[in-house]
Amino acid sequence: MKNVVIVDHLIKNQEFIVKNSENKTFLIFLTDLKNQQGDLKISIKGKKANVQILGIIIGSGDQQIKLYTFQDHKAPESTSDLFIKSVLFDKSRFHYEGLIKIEKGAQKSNAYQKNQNLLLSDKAWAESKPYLEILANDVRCTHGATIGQIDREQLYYLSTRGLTEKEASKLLITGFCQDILDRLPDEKLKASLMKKIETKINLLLSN
Amino acid sequence: MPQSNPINTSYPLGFHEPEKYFFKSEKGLSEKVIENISWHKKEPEWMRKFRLDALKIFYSKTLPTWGGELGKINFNNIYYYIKPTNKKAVSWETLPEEIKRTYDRIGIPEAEKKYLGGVSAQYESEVVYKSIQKTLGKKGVIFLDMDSGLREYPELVKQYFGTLIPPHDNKFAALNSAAWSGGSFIYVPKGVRVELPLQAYFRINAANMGQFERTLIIADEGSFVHYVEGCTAPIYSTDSLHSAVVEIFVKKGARVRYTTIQNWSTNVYNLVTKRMRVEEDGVGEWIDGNLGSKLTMKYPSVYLMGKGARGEILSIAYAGPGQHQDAGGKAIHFAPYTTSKITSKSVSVGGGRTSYRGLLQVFQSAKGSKSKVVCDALLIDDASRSDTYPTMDIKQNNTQIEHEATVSKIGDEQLFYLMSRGLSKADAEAMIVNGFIEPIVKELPLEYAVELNRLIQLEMEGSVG
Repeated sequence: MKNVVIVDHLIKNQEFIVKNSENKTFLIFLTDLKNQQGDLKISIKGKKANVQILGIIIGSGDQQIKLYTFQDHKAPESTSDLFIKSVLFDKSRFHYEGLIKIEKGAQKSNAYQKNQNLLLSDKAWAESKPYLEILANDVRCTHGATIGQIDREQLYYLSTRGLTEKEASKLLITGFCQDILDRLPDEKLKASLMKKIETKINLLLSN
Repeated sequence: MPQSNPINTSYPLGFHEPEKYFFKSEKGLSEKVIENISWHKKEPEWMRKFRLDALKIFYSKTLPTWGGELGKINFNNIYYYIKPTNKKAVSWETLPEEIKRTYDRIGIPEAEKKYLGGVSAQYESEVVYKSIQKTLGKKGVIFLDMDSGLREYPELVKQYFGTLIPPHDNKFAALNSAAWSGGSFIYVPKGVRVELPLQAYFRINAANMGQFERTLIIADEGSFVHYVEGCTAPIYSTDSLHSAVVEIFVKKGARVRYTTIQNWSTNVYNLVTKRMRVEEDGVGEWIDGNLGSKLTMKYPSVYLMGKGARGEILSIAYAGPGQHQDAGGKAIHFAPYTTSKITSKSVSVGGGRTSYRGLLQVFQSAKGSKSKVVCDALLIDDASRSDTYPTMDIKQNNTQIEHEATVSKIGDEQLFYLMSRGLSKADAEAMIVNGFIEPIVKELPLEYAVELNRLIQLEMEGSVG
């Protein structure tokens, strides 16, 4: 897939340049057990470009993941939309810092940034720093972040329908990740990634 | 802005304050200067030592590398203690037209105008203050300036002073600890509710707009007090650096609301440390409005120490040409079932810069905590800038944490609609800005809210020319 770039490990100073009218999706997909640290910079140098940055991070054990993202809008009339979710088991820790910068000349840009974190153990940590630096006024920028655990009411509802707690948790966690996969333009890719997620979650829940 | 001589420097508006002081320490910072301040105030030995220790800490700390541009502050070009005379500072006639016009337009009372313009050294509120003191005294409430508080209640002050914001907290807290003067001291006994907001300018016996104000508020179990400092009208100050420290103790089941409207002239660095410690079922609220100054760095914080404690921070920042408002709030959850809410609204206009900087921290001990942060920024033109720098650090999974922020401009449709109804562009913009900050303004005492709305109207007129 030309338009989807999968980032399955993090390195320092990773940068992608987006040009005029390009339509690109980046997917950060971290589900193995390694400690990871690195950044992803998307430089939007072209007009009318459309960028999606998606992320699914599943942490477990005493894994530590540090992710920095940078949506750098240098050209006008472009859109970037970031949505990163983490699911944290055991003693895993996730540090996220994301910056949206709209430079002076980048009028009529839209930039979004959303980070949601699910803490599945009382030893798991999440740190989220969604930053904005806006130097142009004719723009629309929003960001949001949430950190929490599985909704007790949803678990309860599923258990009244006969699901065990484990089954219900699995359903809710995969649903949490599904949200990201739904934004991918490629059905085949979606299905293969979902399989990976399900296998991983199954394994972690049965520990 | 040249910072050559903060005392003699002319105001941007060409307005001078003559030098008539009872006592003035020598320029710059040294052990001798600090010793002198302490000696002059006839302070107990522990305070003298506290000041000197703080000075050492001040020297050892570096300036923060984040936030605004602080490199231009010359700490040796400042008078650290000036005891003002009781004489009139300037005459009303010599005040520049612009200032007078601002006061008129905001609609503040005559006596207050003179006070704010530096015409009368004290606001004519002696009568008000005395009657308030009488009522408060009956309930056992103490409301004094900090210097008198230390003199009259040394034990109570010693027990709390500098325990919530110790000198080593940051460089400016250390500076304040060494050179503090003025500020308020309030003690509210158990179960007492102070219905009338206590305002800093009720106090007549101390200069309350000091450079290094120090405020200490203790609200005992089940009590309530609302404290208001500052005012919406511009305060013309020659001092280039203001660095206050505010410590507030909210005991079990008590509630404290602290409202600030800061409108220093645009030559001032305003670097303030404010913190509240909230115990079980207590409520701590900051309402913080920043309109003036060249650079403000201020992040009022709530430390939620007891089960069920609640903290709320409402912040408005308005940055015009040459201004940088680096403001926000911090909520730190130590105890279970604590809740916090931070709401920030900022407006940048004419090249001004606003930054929201916040911290939300939930420790493992804070099971069942909830927090919500909302930041909205309005950019009026393409020369202005808006930043959002929140940090969320969550070490407990049984929590509910939300943060959201938006940055936008005034909608063309909104403007067009209002102008098609006959409003001028400036009026329409002012109306939209006032609507934008309304959720916070409605929490202010009425006269402040009215003044703030008028002030924004005035500022917006200037901005579109």
